[in-house]
Amino acid sequence: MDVHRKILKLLYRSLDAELTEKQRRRLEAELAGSEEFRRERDRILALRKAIAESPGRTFRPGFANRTLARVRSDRPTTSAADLFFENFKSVFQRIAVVSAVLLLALAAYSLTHRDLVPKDAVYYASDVAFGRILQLPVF
Amino acid sequence: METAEQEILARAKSGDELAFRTIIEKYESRISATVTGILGFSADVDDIGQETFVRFYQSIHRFRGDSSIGTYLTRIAINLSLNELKRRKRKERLRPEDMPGDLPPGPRSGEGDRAADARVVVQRGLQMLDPKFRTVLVLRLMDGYSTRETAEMLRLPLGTVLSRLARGQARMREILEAIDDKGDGYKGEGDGCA
Repeated sequence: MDVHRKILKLLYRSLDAELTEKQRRRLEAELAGSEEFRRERDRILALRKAIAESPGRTFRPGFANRTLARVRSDRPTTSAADLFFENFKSVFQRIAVVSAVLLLALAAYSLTHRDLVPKDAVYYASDVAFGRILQLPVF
Repeated sequence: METAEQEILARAKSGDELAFRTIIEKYESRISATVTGILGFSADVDDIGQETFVRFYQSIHRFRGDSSIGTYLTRIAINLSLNELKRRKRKERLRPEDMPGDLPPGPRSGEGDRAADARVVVQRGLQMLDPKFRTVLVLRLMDGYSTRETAEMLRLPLGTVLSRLARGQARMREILEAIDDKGDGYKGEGDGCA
């Protein structure tokens, strides 16, 4: 970076951030010794002033009223019917959740207890029952 | 955040419309400067301004007051303005470079209008600047935020903000000198401007 650009960078930086003591002294020396740098600084300051003073337009009159009207129109409406359905929905959702949990518990229970009565026992009982039935006198 | 501002905020949070109106009236000029600085003098500036406050209203219960209301609003305004710029860019892809869609009217010739003309020219210059430089110049020089606040608002490192400020001003000078060569009213020498 050439010297001119370095000083220019310091000049810009000095207006927005703190320089180190060494940088500050260097900039001051350059400004004191160079008419060109002093003119440059004046141009930069003039530009900054022009930008700072440039916002010449505000929102159209009645801005607050228009904004509040928009806020009101965006606000969700809660009529009595809406309120009823909202409450109904939330109660139904709770019932649905409890039912789902009960169903899951029932399914889990039946899965874990399905071998409680052995199949053999079931079939044996069935044979005996059938035998007894066959041995019974016919009326 | 000041006590008075906290009170207004608490009232606005509880649904007090008058408190929210106070917030709008207090910050509308600041938001107008920010939005106009980024978007230029255009019809949609008013809409973006309204949208800024509507978004604030919608998120007011989440606003914990870590920053001031003004800073929070400015951040919303910047995001909305940058989104609008992107939308415009998509829309105007076929237009020549460096020709923003909504330039302010050209300078007038009357002696008494010189200051207003200079403002218009500066606004034209700003609109020709790359948005990343423009946003930094608007926040720092127009809105008067410190470089640290600007960095926080744009979520950029401080060094990037300083570099963009320097490059933005240098580019802005070139643009204004080019406009000046055409005789449009900006005088960048010493106290001749504004």
